[in-house]
Amino acid sequence: MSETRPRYSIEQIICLLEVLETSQNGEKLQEFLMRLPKSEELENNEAILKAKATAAFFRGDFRELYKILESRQYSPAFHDRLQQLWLKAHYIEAEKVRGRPLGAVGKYRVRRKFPLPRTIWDGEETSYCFKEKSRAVLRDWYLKSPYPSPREKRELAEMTDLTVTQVSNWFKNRRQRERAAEAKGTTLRFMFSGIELLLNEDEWATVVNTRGTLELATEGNRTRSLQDYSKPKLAALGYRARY
Amino acid sequence: MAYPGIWANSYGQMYQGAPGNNNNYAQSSQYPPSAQTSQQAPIPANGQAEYGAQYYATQGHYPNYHNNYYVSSTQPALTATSGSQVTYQLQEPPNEAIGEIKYTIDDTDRRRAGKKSKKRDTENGDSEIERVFIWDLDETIIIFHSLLTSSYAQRYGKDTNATLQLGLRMEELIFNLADNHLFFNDLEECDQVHCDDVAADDNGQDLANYNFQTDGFRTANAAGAICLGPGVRGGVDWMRKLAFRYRRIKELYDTFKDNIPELLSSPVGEAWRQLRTEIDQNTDNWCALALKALGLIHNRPGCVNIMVTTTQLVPAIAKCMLYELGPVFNIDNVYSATKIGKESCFERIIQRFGKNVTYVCVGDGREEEIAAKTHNVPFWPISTHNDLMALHQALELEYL
Repeated sequence: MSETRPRYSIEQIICLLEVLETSQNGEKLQEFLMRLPKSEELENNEAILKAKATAAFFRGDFRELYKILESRQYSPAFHDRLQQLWLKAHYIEAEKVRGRPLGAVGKYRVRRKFPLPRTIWDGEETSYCFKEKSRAVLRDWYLKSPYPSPREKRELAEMTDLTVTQVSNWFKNRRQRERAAEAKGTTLRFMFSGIELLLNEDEWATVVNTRGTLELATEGNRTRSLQDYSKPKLAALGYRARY
Repeated sequence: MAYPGIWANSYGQMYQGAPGNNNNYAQSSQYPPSAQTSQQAPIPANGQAEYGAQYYATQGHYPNYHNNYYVSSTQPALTATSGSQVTYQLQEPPNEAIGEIKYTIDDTDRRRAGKKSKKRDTENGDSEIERVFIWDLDETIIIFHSLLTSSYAQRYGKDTNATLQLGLRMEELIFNLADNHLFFNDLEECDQVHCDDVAADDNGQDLANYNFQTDGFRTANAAGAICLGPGVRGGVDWMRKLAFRYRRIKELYDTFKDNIPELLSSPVGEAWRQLRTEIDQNTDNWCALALKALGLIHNRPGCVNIMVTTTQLVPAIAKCMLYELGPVFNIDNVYSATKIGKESCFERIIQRFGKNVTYVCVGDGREEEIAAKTHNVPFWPISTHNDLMALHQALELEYL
């Protein structure tokens, strides 16, 4: 019985490769891959290609790694691992150029510069920290009321499986980003004196140029600085041009 | 697995409906019955891949016993049907130097701070373990059930009646051992998953002169005491007696695992020895092959054999003793999945050894395959002697 050389099925080969990959045994992984016979079935098997990619990564042969990752379309189940290999390799290369480790921003720039190939990515936007469900809940709530009370925050935290701090921060950031977006939009409109702004349901004010700055003159002839009005609110209410 | 998070997650997913993946687990169920030779069919010496149809055609119809495992309707991806199952032999080790290893995948998960994870539920010795092999018992390590159903005989072309007799004799030995020495009569209704599950109720008293026959456990049982599992006080007294029994079982196991005849005492001991020899002959030394792999694992530092079986715990322990698996399985590494299923057992095991350990599941059937996939554990299928040999070779060459 010991003379016959045992035969391996594909499942067993894949099992073995997986063990070597996750235990990070680069030498044995390569050795085993080299001992596999030439075969079309093996050449085309995604799990085996993943193992080859991993082996290439371990020995720093990133050209080969990228070649394997871009060589064919991979099933979604393999995407996570393959994406991680792609990113890690690019980070390492960038770090070598930089001469020091990459921070979060550096990594972000690497990801922008070397976007994931579609062979290992389905094109979905960057993965977010919070689950899509949670983000949807928060978004809905925000549209109804951007300022939840402490109790409402607690409810939201429960519904979304986040902490109250996370919910608070989400709202704070969201409001801040809205303001930033609006400011970008409304500054343009406020630029012109003569423009009228609807302050509330029945009150219009005119943008006037006073002492070199733009101010709002209301019907009661009071002038107010633009800063006194919350920009998002003004922008939301409306404006008209009256020349 | 060394990597929690995405690095570990995708292994199981790869086998779910991914087209183009070659998942031929259940090929043998497709094969029609044909005349048998034993599977020592000559295997070509060169390393070329060979379409295995020729090899597998010499196998018989896959045992009925396993048919329920391989019904393909609900899980098409796992039971893809292609015509032949290809197998491969390893070629000679490469002459050229292997590329020097430069990088590892950094695990930035903060859970893994330092080698010893504090979150692990570790006991003595468990924290040194790096690789866990989770074995199925029946038809993977031992051949027992398929002797009784004649499926083994049909598959390998053995005399049906003779193998049936072997099965019956072994069955008798198992239940004799279980009843006479392992309190199976007492424990049948309240068998546990693991031998330490009721240890909390033990008071540690000396059992040297304890009389298990007359301690009232059976009367309580007869009176309908319900065993609801560990920790539930169906009577503190009764739970303690239960714990004594499992403690005694552990003691017996450790004392006699290397010397079964002494426990069985003549003439049963001789009958057992004789039966083992006959079964080994009839099954072409299946168990011995499995033991080679098991022994290699057991003797390797940082590796451990765990058993998860659908047999109840006490009979499973009896089987271990009768098939002389004691030397490679500590009794506290045996789990019975009868009550909670294999998936839950796997969960307990992963809880025990932690996520920074590599797991390998070895089995012949669907339940362990699915349990393994669910937990992202690589699965090594066993269905023939060759599979055990391949496993042993892989271990020997340190590929596993």
